[in-house]
Formats: sequence, C-alpha cells, structure tokens
Amino acid sequence: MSPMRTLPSFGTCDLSSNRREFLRQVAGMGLLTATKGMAPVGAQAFPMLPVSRRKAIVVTFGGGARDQETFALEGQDNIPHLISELLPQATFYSQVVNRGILGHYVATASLITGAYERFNNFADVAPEHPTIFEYVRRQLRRPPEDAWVIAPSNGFNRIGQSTHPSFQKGSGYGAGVILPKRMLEALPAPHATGLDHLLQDNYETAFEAPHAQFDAARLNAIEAVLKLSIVDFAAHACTLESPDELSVYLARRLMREVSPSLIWITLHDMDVAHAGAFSLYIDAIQRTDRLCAEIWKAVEAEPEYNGKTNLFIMPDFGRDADTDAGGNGFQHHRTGSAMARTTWMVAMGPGIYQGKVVDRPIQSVDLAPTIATMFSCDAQFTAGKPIQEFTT
Amino acid sequence: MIAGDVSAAGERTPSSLRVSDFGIYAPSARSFAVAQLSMLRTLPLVLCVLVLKQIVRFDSLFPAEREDLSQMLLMLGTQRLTSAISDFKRIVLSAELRHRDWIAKPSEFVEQMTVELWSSGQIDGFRHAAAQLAPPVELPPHGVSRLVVVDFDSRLEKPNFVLFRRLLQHGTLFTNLTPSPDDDPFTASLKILEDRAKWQPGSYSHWLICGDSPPRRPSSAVSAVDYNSVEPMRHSLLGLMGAAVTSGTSGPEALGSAMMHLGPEALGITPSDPLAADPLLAQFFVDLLAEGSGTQIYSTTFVQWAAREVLRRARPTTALIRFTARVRQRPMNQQWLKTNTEPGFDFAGSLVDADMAAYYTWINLMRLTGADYAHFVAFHSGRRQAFASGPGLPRGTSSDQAISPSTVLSLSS
Repeated sequence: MSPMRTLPSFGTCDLSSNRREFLRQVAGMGLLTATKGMAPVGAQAFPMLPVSRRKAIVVTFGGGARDQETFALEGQDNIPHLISELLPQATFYSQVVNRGILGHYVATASLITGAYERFNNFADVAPEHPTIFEYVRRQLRRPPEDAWVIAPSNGFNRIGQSTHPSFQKGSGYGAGVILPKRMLEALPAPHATGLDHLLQDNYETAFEAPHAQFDAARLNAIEAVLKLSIVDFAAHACTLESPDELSVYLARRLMREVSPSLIWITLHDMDVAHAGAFSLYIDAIQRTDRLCAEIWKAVEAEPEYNGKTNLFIMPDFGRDADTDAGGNGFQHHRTGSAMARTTWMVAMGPGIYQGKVVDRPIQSVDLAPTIATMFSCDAQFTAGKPIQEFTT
Repeated sequence: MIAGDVSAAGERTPSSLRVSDFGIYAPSARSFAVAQLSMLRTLPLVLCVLVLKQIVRFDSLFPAEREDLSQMLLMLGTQRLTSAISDFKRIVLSAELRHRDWIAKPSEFVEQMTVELWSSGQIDGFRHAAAQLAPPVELPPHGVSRLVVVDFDSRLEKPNFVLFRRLLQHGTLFTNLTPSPDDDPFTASLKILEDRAKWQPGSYSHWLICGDSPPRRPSSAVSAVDYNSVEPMRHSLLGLMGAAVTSGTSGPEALGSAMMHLGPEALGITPSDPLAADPLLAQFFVDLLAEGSGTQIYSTTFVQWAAREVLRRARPTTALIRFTARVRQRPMNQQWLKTNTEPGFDFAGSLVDADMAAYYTWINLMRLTGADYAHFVAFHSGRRQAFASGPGLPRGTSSDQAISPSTVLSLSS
C-alpha cells in the first residue's frame, strides 16, 4: 500500500460559495454587495438611450443545467466562452431560484410571463398570464414582427401569447414563434434529406404535446420574414450539427432582416441528459457555451444591436443533485430539491455592471418585470420584481 | 378524466376499504392487503395510495422490498411516524382526483397526483412527508458487508480524461494495476461474486449486470442481466413507443401510463422463453426498460439504471457491474423507425458515462444499510487503474505500487 500520497479532493458542489470564490479569483469579478448609490457601468448612457432603440435578447437553456457542470469549480472547463469572454462584461447572478413547476415548457412560460404558471407541462396550452412580449408590444405600440421566440421543442408552439383577457384585442400582442424543427419537417421532401440529426428530439420531448400544425403556408410566412428561400434554408441546415445551432442561425437571420426589439431563444440540446448519457449532456453544454458567445458576437456585429442590446442568459432551472435519493442525478429534474430549483444568470449590455457577482437570491420570475422596466413598461400581472441592479 | 376511472360509488376513503375491494389484486397481493386492512383504513388517502401502489405489485417485489413494506406498515402502527402521517394529512387533493379509482389503479392515481402536487405547489410538502418513511438504518443482514465491483471495458478511452475524479476523496486510487490473462478484473471479480453467492446464499442477493454479453456466465446462484439478452425486449418496446408517438393519438401521459404497466408478454416474452423462467426477474427486466429513460437506447444508461434499481430494490450483498461501449447518439425517431444503419460505438463518450455511473453506483451503495462497512471497487484495466473504498482503506490517497486485481479485491473483502 505504499508509497501513498494525499490527493486533492474533488468535492461535491454547494450551491454558490465555491463558484463565487472562483469567479472572483479567476475572472477578476468582484462581489456586488451594495448597490445603493453605485452607478452601473454605462448607467450614464443607458437612460439616454431612447426606449425605441433598446433591444433585449434572452437565452434560456431548456435543458436545465446544474452548477457543477457550469459555473461551479469543477464545471468551468465546460463553459470557456462564458467564463472568459462574456463574464468579464457581465453581472453574474449566482442564485436564481425557480419556485414553480420544473418542466421546461411551463418553466419557460413562467420566465416569459414573470408569474409562476401552473398548467400541465405537457399540455397544448398558452400561458395564463400576459407575456413580456404583450406588455412591450401593446404599451409601446410595436408591430407583430418586433418580438420573437425561437424554440426547438415542439411543445412551445403557444408560448408567444397568453390567454389573459386583458390582451385579447384583435390578433393580440404576442410574439411570433419559430419552431425550427417543425420548419424542417415542413420542407418538401427533396430538401429534407439528410437533416434527421437536426430533428433530434431528446427522450422527454418525443412525448410532448401533439405536433404543432406547421404547414407550408406557415413555413412560407416565416421564410418571407427571414428573406430566406427553402433551398437556402435547407442548404444551410445541412452544415449544422444540432437543433440549437439551427435556432441560433435563425436568430441571427432575424436580427439581420427584422431587427426585433425582443428575441427569446430557448436552447434545448442539453436536455439529452434525460437519456442518461452524461457525456452527451456535457457535449451539449459545451456547444451551448459556444453558441452563447456566437450570439453576443452577432449582437456586436449588427449595427441595429451593437451598444443597444441587453443579453440575459440563464437555465430555466437546474437538475437533480447527485445525492437526491428520489432522483438519478443529472438525468432528470423531478425532485424539486434546492439543486433542481437553483440556477444562475448572466446579464450584460448597457446599464449593467461589468465583472460583478450578485450573490443575493433572486427569482427566475424577476426577469420579465426587469425587461419591462428597461422598456419603460408596466408588467402589472407579474409576480416577480425588477432586479434592482438594472434599474437604479 | 376517463369516465371508467371513477368509482361508481363516488369518492372512497381509506376508512371505507373492504376485503372485496382487493378482489382484482393478484392472490399474494390480495392476501397481504387483507392482512393489513385494519392498518390501511387508518391512513390518510395519499399515504394509503402509496402503500397500495406497492401492495398491488406484491408479486413483483424482491424479498427486501417485501420486508421494507411490512416493516413500514408495522412502524405506521407506532408513534414513530406520527409526524409523517400528519404531513400527509395536510395534502389537499382535488375532488376530481379523489374520485378516481385509487384502490384498483393506485399507480395511475399516483401519477396524476404527482402532476397535481406540482401544479398546486404542494410537491415540497409531499417530499418532506415521504422522506420520513425511509426505513431506519440498521446493521447489514447477517453481519455481511456488501461488495460492489465496477469493471470498465478496457477499450473505453478518452485522451486526457481523468478517471474516478469524483470518487477519489472517498477511497484509494491505484495507478499501477497489473492485470494479466490469469488475473483480469472481470474474472477475478466474478470468482469473488460466485464465492460469496456460495458462502452467503440468498434470493437475489448476488448480481451480475453487463453492458453486453458477459465474457463468462455466472453460476445459477447469481442473478444476472445483460444488455444483449434483453435486446428483443428493447426492440419490442421501441416499436411500441414509436407506434404511439407517430400515431399522434397518444399523449405523453397516456403513453407513460401504458409503459408503466407493461408485462413481459407485451414485449414478446413467451412462457417458454428463458427470460420468463423467473417471473420476478422477467418483470424486473421489463421495468428497467419501460420505466428507465434512455435504457432502451444506451447500454451505459441501462447498466447504470439497472445497478441503481438492483441496489435500491434488491439490496444485494454482492454486485459486479460491467460497463461497455454504447452506440453513438442518433435521433429518437431513428430509434423506432430504424431509418438508419447501425451508428457504431462511442468509446470516448462511454468512458465519461461509465465514470459518472460508477460514482452514482457508489452513492447508491452508500444509501444502503451498513454503508459504513460496505466495500466498493472499480477497475479500468486499459488504464491500469483501480479505485477502492471501504473499511481500512485510506481516503484521498493514491498508490503507484504494482498491484494485481485479485489483490485489490482482497483488500476489499
């Protein structure tokens, strides 16, 4: 048994202390503890930026990602772009708590409405509370093409617009919803060949709500908005590796051709975790990390967005802890434990501190009212509160 | 709601339970339920249904599970679980749910109840109440310490990947393993497994779980499951899933319910099939495939889930678990439509999967009674590495001394 030497321990993750300390040391980020009287970077510029020119892009990970595979010490190798490229420009919220239902559709709907939706995650229903898109579009009198959701998962078909009675006038004030995988399925046969890998449904989404009706007319309408022919769309899709890459491609196309004020992208590759293969989950996190950096590069490259855009990146929730007896670790998010309910958020752009960590808990439903405040809108039906660091 | 699920007599409460209610249960389940009738009548509805969910599948329970069930019912008659019972009483269910036929179909009821607990914000209260039902920690049976061995196929490899990283702090890493044709990890571990099965015989107490066909079949004293042997069942199940999904008429919940209640015959296992020789095992194999997500697709997932379920349900004395390469990722649709050729194996990804699975297996071992006395060993002969934890083995240390697989095992028994 000799010679023996002591090994460095590789501890299980606690929710935030390891991560915060590491961020402070490596990324040079400071803990933002007192906000009163402190002006965020760009605070002078932000109020002067007219609401009419402001943009917001939200990227949620519909797979759910745990601390220990992302910002905790042992996970940071998986997210080099977030750590080294985006964090120095961002405020990092280390404890974002989701007190709602931990299913991806209902949780994303809760983020979008700023209220905990209570419907069956697998049901084909719209959110009950008004969406952030409806608040902004109605109060700022924005046209339909000013707000979009891009979601690869089929169940998100109705996420753009609520059933709230206050917002039912005319055709409503919701966001357009692009379901890239349904677009692929609607392609005429010759163009759809070889795109099976982009239709990848993970183990859970294969059993979601019935397929959205995505006929040729809807395909043509979106192609007209994106100024993208079927041939070009199919040709580009052939060069991509995953559904999330297709989503980001379409987001960039939207930014270039339509320049909407609000874009909400849900990335779902990492929900492959439900199949129980840890390596595939990690691969997807690494891909998502790269795609987040690409989205920010697109923001900087587009004159309509550069210097005017706030980017928010957050998982919709976590996943079960390794030690949750009722779960099976990373594979699912069924236990409702603290690990499954707690995640993080990266926020960047005008009016947001750079290189700072906020360790006080916020709720995931705080995001929608925060965005509403940025657009000088009143999100009156939300349950969350505007995040103060953004609005001082 | 399905009309047929509503009892003709309307809402039933546990206090109204009668012997005749269990007429549709299998004989042994019926006998057990009738014997526990007076206790069942005193339980709050939520807890009563949870108990019935176990009772209704009494024939499919391992001996350890039957023992747990009996012990829990015994404890429910004492003051020990008063707090849990009070917590269960506080859970409020909708009238629609309460009217469902929870006596005949407790599993379906629990499934719907889970949805309702989430949507009504009561899931945390339920979790708290359920956690109190865990059996008390006791010494391992017959004073025997458990032994779990994980063996990695030597071909699983990914450059620069650090193996056993999560396990290191819990035991000793051996970095100079010296396997040989006469002393390879699988053979040495199988010998230990069979020896322990001979010395400490017990139903479903010793297990071999493999990601492909095992290099050598164990003796009949060992319960065995391997990914290759359940291949016909996997294909049958994928066919059922594909038909349901592509039909567009079966929602996710209906499909989930259907999969939850499959029997071996539904997956093409006839009474003459060798897999049907032990009905309890045959149903266990079906459960592994139908209730575990991803187990139909990836061998690494199947082995990890099988190890988890064996440890949780059968509480074995000994288990040998072997991870081999899984297939590469491909779309779910291709799984059931068979539109693609075989995708080949992912040796690098499988190493990462198996490493995490080994850690989870250790965690699951630590959840069992007698964890302080339990031994855990993992081998990767291709890397000439082994990890061992248990009484007498230092934690967070490594040794580069040459050591054979048999010697590592001898430190753990």
